[in-house]
Amino acid sequence: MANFWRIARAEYLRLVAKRSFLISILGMPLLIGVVTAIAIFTALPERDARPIGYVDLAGVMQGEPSAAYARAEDAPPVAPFADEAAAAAALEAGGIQAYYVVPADYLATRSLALVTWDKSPSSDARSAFRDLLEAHLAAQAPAASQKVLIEGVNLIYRGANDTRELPVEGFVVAALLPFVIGFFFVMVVMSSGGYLLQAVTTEKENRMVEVMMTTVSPFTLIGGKALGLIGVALTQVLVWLVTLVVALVFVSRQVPWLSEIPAPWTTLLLAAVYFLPTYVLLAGLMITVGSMVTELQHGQQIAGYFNLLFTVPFFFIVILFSNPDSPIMVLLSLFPTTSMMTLAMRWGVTQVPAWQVIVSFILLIASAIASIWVAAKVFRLGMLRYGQPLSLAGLVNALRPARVASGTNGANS
Amino acid sequence: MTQPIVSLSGLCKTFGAVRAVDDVSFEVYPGEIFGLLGPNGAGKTTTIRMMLDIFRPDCGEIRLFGGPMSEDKKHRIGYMPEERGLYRDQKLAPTLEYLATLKGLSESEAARRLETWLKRLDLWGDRQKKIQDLSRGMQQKAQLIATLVHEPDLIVVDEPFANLDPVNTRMAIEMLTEQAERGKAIIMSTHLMFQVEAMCHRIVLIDKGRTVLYGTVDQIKRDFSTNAVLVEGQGDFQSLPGVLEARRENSHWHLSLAQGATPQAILRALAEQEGARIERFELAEPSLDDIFINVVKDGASARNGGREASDG
Repeated sequence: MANFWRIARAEYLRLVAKRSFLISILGMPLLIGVVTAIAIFTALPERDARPIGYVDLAGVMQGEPSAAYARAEDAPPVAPFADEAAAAAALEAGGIQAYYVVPADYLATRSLALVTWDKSPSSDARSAFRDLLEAHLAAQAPAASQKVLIEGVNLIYRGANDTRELPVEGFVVAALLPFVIGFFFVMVVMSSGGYLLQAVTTEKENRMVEVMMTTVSPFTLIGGKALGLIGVALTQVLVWLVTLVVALVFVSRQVPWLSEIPAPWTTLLLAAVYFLPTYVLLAGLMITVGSMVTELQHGQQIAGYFNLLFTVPFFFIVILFSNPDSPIMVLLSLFPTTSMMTLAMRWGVTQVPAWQVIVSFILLIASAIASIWVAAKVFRLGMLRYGQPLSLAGLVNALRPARVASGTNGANS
Repeated sequence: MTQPIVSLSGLCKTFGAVRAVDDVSFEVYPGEIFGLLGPNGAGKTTTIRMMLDIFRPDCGEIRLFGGPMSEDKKHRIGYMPEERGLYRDQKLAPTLEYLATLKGLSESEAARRLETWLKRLDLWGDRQKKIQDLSRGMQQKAQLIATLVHEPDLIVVDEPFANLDPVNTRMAIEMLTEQAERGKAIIMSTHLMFQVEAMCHRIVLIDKGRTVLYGTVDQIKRDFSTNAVLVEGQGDFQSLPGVLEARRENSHWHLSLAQGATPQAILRALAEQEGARIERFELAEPSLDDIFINVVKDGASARNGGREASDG
């Protein structure tokens, strides 16, 4: 067992010291940083502290607004004007961002006019006016209803046979987060594929296979390598997540509404639980490919198809939103290579039955273990075939139960 | 009686239609250097791989240290395969330390032993270099260290002197001989017959997967010796009683003896010959090289003859 950890540690340290790893691990935070900077840069011009004006020709904004109304912090002031000429003069003088005209027939038509000078008012200013208008309208309703009219309802979707709730508030985030998770996972799969292949081809290319196989068992060697690579992947994900969280905290300070969105913890938990066995499955498949080929380049070509097996749910996004419980989505939820991404994506938009989660997880765990077992078997045979790839027939032979030798050959362990 | 460290009995292995190893048996004892010989493709490497649990035999019995192979026993084995190398993009000392710890040494013990070995093989100054920056000979010495650093009881070396210059070859021979003197069993596979003659106590010769010779080097040479002597010096060597034929070979004479004539009688006759000066007198034993070539050639002829007969 000590050798298992030793191999894992050596594999981990060998890979994290590689320049390509540093480039890939730093490349993503750099990308996030650039995107964050662009987001902040584009958001900054929106911050305009000047008031937004209005001319109330309908008389709906006379008197006091509802007592339930509270002006949002940092919101630009909302300034009334007696007539359009005064408002236009203020706009021309640059005293206000823009002004609304509430026409006399507003209650009948619900139409408003927005008058701007050279650019649109900020979203804060528009919200500030809309909130005040709603507060005035609500003031005419019974006191008990005013709070509901102003704050709206807190709607919760709940399945008939499921206790899980889908919050409407933050629904967009709940639906989009799985895509972010999926994007991260695809990035991990793409960058890890090469490392996973290298992990085995390096033994072959460096002629270390026989020495290693007379030192440790194939399962210890392959398992240790897989564990080291999982550590590398987790390091990668951790660095990316920390960067993302830091970026979100930074951005949410600039964009206050972001901090009000509830974090979809169940989706994150689901992804976290599924990530490890999914990665082990990927590792097993890649190690199998690496053991069968003679050159890393050939392995990478085959590995590309295996990568597709993990990223295929992205091709079904349209079905995901139009019919998230369709048979194809259920199938993808159960299939081991696609279950993590499909379930995570469905989690945000529908009620996933518990049986599907349980069955998919069992299938995933079984596949992950089987993939490492197959990898160790194929590694044993394929890695000694210097200069010639292992054929599919050879692969099948490697997986057959060992023939019993006559005598008491203890080597047949 | 000393228990053999390695005992192979009736080993066989088939790859597709090719019978790579066919009924190979031998034993290797502590303290001996055992030569595993054979032409290319004879089945030597397959035999070694089966012995070390890399391949599984189709039939036969393998016993290491008195029983079947286990993970613990792997720590008692040092193996330098023919297809060998080290992690080329890694530094020398950390790589050797990693391999030593996998063989059961603690990190401190591995570091201590490696310092001794690296200094002895003149690699201490290169310990922080990447392996790819070392010469092939230096890499070979490093592989020898990796094979021996954990003080294995069974050492299996396949062509251990390839890539080594004469100085380092001598050093490698000394190291292996030293290990044998310390009671370790060494199985050496090589094509260099003079090295086998100089180092090995016993050999097995495999040809086309089958054992064709097995025994001590001395006994095998005796078995293949003809009734002849080599004489170097001055005198009349052609008219000696009991000499059938005298043939000049470079600086010496090869005397073929008649049935019943003994080397002792020839020596006595030479000593009595007036004016004769003997500088060298020895039994004309064939070299292992000759035996190897003859046995392999005979085997091929027999097989071809058999094939021709069956074809005919």
